[in-house]
This record gives sequence, structure tokens and C-alpha cells, in this order.
Amino acid sequence: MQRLRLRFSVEHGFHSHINRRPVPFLHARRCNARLNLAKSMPRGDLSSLPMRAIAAVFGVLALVMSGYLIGMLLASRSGSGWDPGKAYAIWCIAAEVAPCRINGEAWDFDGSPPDLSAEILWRGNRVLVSATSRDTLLATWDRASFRISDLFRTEFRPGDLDKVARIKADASERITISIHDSDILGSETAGTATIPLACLKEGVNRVNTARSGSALRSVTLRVVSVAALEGGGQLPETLNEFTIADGKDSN
Amino acid sequence: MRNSSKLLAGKMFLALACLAFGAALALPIVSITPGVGELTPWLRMLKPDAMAVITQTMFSSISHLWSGGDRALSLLLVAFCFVLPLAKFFVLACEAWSIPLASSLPGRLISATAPYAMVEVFLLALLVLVIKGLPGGSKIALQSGAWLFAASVFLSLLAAGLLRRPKGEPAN
Repeated sequence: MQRLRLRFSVEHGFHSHINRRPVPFLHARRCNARLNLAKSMPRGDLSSLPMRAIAAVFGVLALVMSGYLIGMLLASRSGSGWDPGKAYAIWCIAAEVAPCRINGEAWDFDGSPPDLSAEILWRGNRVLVSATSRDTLLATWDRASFRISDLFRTEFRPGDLDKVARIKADASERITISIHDSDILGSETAGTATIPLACLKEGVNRVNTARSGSALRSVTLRVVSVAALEGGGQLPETLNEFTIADGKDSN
Repeated sequence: MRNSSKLLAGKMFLALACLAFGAALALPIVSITPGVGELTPWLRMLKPDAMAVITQTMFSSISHLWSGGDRALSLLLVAFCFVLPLAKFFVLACEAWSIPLASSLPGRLISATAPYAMVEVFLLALLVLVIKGLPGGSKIALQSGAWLFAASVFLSLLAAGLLRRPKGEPAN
């Protein structure tokens, strides 16, 4: 019995601190099978002190590294997709149109490229009208613009310079981007793109349009949460590119 | 004598503390929104870079200090917020796996410095107090990384309590 207890504490060292108390005879017999198993184990098992020390060090490092990777994953995923609970600021930063109209005619009678402006329509309302980018097939717009009409307002806030559409909607909803060619005689639609909000992500969204009946080739939108915009922080630059065909996306 | 359920709970808390510590290193710990009172919206428009929200992770704050010339301070931060917490986890892991480290010289050194590990949480609390007292409406917000650091400290304390060996009991 004494010999058995001694063997138990030496060979089953992994739990030796628990098993140093006097071992009852029946319990010792139950452990006998495990003792024989421990005896047959190779020297590199966890019962040897150096191996346990190595396992402890690498175990801690592995757990910390796993936590770091989880943190990186969380940091990269946070705020990327469309969140129905958040308000977003959306504005057009660029659009590309075909070299001529759908019917093959030139954009302007003097052969110059079109003067392009962008509109964002949401729930039947025109929530944004951009400034006009003159004589170009590749229009670009800035977030802030100043109109002469702004001078005649009785109240003016710095935030009024921001020409953005503020949208808080479910991911199943859509917005329509309408690009217009403005002339002296009037304005006509160069092309439209209806975009499901679920396709948009925070950052730069390049939407390629693959519609035969439209002169609009692509439109680039900036999507930023209103909190980030008003907080004045660095705006996300992640590029999200997808194609829509007749109102359906083929991301 | 430790009973096996306490040992198991101690190991679980230690594992969670390690995971929380790793995640805290990757996630932002603090964000500061500068403010200059009523001029804030105008300055945001005229000089957006100066008014940008500053978000710092542990590594970015250390690298900023290093590149800014405060090398002693950055080394101190590395020691107190990275090396010592890791050393504390090693000591706890050794306790959990009955490795007699505490009696050795490195073990005694680590045990002596362990109370100062993760002093980061205390420093962050001080930073919040200082910035909240500044005029101009500057805002400071603790981010998920800081809360995970705090959780890691709390879990490691729990693990230490559960894994502590009674006096006189040998490790192996």
C-alpha cells in the first residue's frame, strides 16, 4: 500500500499536489489502471517539469495572440457594413458618363462634354443636389460647396456648407442616384442608378452600372456615419466596388 | 490543498484574462475629441486636421511616444503594460500547472513586480480626469480596449485568488 502511494505521487505528478494526502485503499485501487498508463507514457509528456513549463509559456502566448487576432478582427469589422440603427451621410464624389448620348448625339451642340450634377433620391424625396462639374465626362464633386443663395440666408452655420444626404434607413431600402446634364436651355438626365443600401459600406463605394439604356458608366459615393462626420475624425477610405444591373447588384 | 473545481475555475479565468489582454492590445483604448468652445464647428471646417478625433491603441500610443522622442516613457509603458502583465500571466500559469517557479529568483522578481502590472488602467483613469477638466469642451471616451484591459486585470486577480497555493504546500 505504501509502495502504491509512492508510485502514485511520483508517476502521476501532474496532480501530485492534490494527491499527496493519504490515499484511501479503495481509491488507490481505482487509480491503479491510470498509474499503469502513466508508467507507459513517454518522457516528453506533460508530467515532466520542463514540458509543463514550456506548455505554460506557449499556452499563455497562444491565448494572448488569439485574443489579439480576435481584437484585430473586431476592429476591422466594426462599422463597415450598413447598420440600420445609424445615420449616414452620403454624397457623390465622382461619376463617369459615356462619350456621347444613348442616341449617338454629342452631349453639347458645340461638341463640348456635359456639365454634370448629381442628385440623391430617397423615399421619393430629393435629399441632395450637388454643384455642377463643368465640361467633363469624369465629374468630381466636393463635400463642401458654397452657393450664392447661401449669402441671403438669415442664419448660417458652418455645417450648412456640407452638401451631404443624411440617411437613416433599413438595409432593404434603396437610394437612386441621378446624374444630370445641365445646359442653358435646361437639364436632362444622363443616367440613373438605383442602389440597395445593403451594398454600401462605410468608405468609398464605386458603383459600376451595366445598363444598356443609360449613359452613366459609374458613380462613386462616399458613405460616412454622421457621428464620424460631425466628430471631425479621419474619414474611412476603404474602397468597396460593385456592379448593379437594372437595379440589382452583382457584387 | 486546492480542490480541483477551484483549480479549473482559476485556469478558466486565466485563459479569459489572456484573451482579454490580447484583444485589448489590438482594439483602441481611448479617443479624444478636441474642442474649442463655440469656435469648434468653424475650426472643424477651416482646419479639420487640427480638430480630428484622436484614437489610440496601445501599440500606436507607444510608437507615437517613441517617435516623438519620449523613449524612456515609451519603454516604461512597454514594461508596465506589456512585459509585466505577460510575466504575471506566466506566473499564474506556472501556479496552475504546479511548476515551482515562485521559489526561484525570476519567480520572486515577477511576483514582486506583479502588483504594478497593468497600471495602464489607472493612468487612463487619470487621463480622463485631466482632459474632462480642460476648458473648450474637449471630450475623452474610453474605448473597448480600455474596458478589456480592466476586465483582464479583474480576471487575473480572480485567477490569482483561485490558484494561490496555501502556505507550506510544495509546488510539486
